[in-house]
Amino acid sequence: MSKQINVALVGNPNTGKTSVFNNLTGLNQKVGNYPGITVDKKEGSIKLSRNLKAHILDLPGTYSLNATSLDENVVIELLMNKKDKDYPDVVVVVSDIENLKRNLLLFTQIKDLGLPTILAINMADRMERKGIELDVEGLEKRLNTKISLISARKGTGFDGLKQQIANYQNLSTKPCLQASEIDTEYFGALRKAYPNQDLYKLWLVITQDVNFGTTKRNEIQTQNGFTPKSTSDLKRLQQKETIKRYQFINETLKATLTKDLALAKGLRATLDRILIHKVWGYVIFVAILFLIFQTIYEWSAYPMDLIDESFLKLSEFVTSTLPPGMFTDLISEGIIPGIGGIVIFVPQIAFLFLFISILEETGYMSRVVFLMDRIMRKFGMSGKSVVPLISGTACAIPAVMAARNIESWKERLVTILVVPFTTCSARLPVYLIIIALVIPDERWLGLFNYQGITLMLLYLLGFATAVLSGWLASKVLKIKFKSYFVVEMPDYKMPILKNIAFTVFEKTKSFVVGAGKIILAISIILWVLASYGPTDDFDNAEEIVTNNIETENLTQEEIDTKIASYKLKNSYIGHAGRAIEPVVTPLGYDWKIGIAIISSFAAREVFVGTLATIYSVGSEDEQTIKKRMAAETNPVLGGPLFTFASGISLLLFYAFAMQCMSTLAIVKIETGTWKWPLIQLFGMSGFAYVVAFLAFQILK
Amino acid sequence: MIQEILVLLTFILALTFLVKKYFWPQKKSKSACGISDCGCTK
Repeated sequence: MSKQINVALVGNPNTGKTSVFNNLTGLNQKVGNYPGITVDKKEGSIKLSRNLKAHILDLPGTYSLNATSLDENVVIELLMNKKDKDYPDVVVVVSDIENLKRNLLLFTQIKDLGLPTILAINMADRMERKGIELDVEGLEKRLNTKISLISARKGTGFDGLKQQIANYQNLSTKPCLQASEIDTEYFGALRKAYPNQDLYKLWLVITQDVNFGTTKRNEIQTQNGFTPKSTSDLKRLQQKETIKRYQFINETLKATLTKDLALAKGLRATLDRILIHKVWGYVIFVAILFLIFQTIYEWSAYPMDLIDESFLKLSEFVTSTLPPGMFTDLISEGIIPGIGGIVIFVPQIAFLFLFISILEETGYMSRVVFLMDRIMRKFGMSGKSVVPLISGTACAIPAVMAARNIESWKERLVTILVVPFTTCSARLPVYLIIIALVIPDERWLGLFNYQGITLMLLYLLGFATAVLSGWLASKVLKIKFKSYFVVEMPDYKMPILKNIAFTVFEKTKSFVVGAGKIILAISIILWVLASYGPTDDFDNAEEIVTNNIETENLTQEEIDTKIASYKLKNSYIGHAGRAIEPVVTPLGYDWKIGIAIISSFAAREVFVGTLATIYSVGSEDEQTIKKRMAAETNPVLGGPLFTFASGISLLLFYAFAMQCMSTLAIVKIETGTWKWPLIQLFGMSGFAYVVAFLAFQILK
Repeated sequence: MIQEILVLLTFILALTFLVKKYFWPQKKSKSACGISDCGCTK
């Protein structure tokens, strides 16, 4: 019978851990979430021998076992909890040959947990070029471990690594050094108080800044007459431990690693001088953004048209194949257009993630964080706020969580409050459809597409609003404390195509699947609410329309449209929509957009699906989503509903309004009160309403 | 009639999904290294 072991991949950020995971597992991998939190859980499997399989878990990157963020917590929780189903039989610590000294801090900590541990040294192919020589055998002896020299880029060394994993039972579990030596008296008393527990794990539990799940660090200090130490004393001891570890690492590397510094200098310094230059750095960054948004529009036009047409054909196929009835209508008018409304944006979202992952893979993104730090400080925010604000371009939820590594509570709060202003990927479908409707598909100076420019301006607007509102909030909250900012600048690298492909695939899939389920559910509910009505007016629509309007000069198609329109107006959703119409009319919207706005308070991306569903109900004439929206007329002003004025008003509303229940929920969890999410909900949405109102009234 | 029933069932399913997602979200994992009953035990 085949046996399965758990293998945990652990390592510092930027060591190529995910590339190692991709090399080991290939396509046998899946991405999920850790229960109750939105930290990605990447797992895969490989066959090591005929009777041995390995379940590989790619844990979030961490610099040490002293957690400062939720994803670092995930690593520590797993490595300390023997009851966890993923508790590793063997840990593979991935390190980078050029940053071995820093990487070994985490390695020595994990080794001291008594786990069988392998050290996988990545980027070994660069050793010669960088003038590095390593005595592998000597290092193995000093660290009591097995070492694999690998290159995720070239795919070398993985057979050896797999072999070492398969032989995990022969690995030494002897620790690298005894942490208890930093204060023998304290650790002696601790051992006496908790004789059945592993001393180093106990020490880690005591010194964590955040409690993990059910762990309460205060509890441990008050039991069995054990004399607790103050927080500052514990911090001092922790520093002593780190110094002791680095002393050990320095001695070890001095004896086993040599580096010819003359060979180590080169391209990096030259590129850094330009890319983080106080003027050229920003110019280059804006130029790169500009090119990205132009390209997104240029490249995705054809696949988007193809998807739109395909969904239209699918609807027609369902209508002509299935027996006529309400359920068939639900599928062809509710579900298919609703889902089509999100799938159509897959090309643009995929291209956006493609460019973002290229920037990350090459090491440029860290330079952007460094550049932005200069601006952030001028607006009273921490340099550490840059990371949540940049990750907010994907989704505000992990961005709010990323604010956990900001030490100052006030700075963290300000960051949490302003993060939802950055343009998340859920806004993208709304922006794309509105831009396509109201901004001409023409070129500025014959080169740059106006639609691409508008999209870039919306991203910059989101970031600028976040920074400005952060400045305002920091004034209101009277922030005095300033934290330090440390960012790692990895070496410039050629991006690995496989990694980029995986990232684009996973991010796009999680967007479509995550949003798709909500959109599907909302589309079904909206269709039902639009297809049934509370009064006789709905049931007798055909009779009422035929009796009350002059139908002699109308074609059958026009009469059908009038009946469908009358039914929609008298449906449940029509009643609700008309009730809110007075509120949205001053912004240039009709009641259908009003309904779409309300439904997108669940999640912004629902907007397009909602409109696609509402506009499809009862429509005999099958059309693409864009054409349906373009054909809508304004009930008050006449003419097209989506004009430049109403379009800009809608874009601004979505840029500023707080329309994401999940973000509100996570802000509540992170701040521990409903006060801040409610301030965000009413503050941001109220501001959005005022700006959208002004924009429409000025531009109309 | 069957189609009407299918619509009703789909509607209930969709409504249940949304209510469950937004009003009864998944609880945070309780599995962690605790003190009394913890994975720290040798």
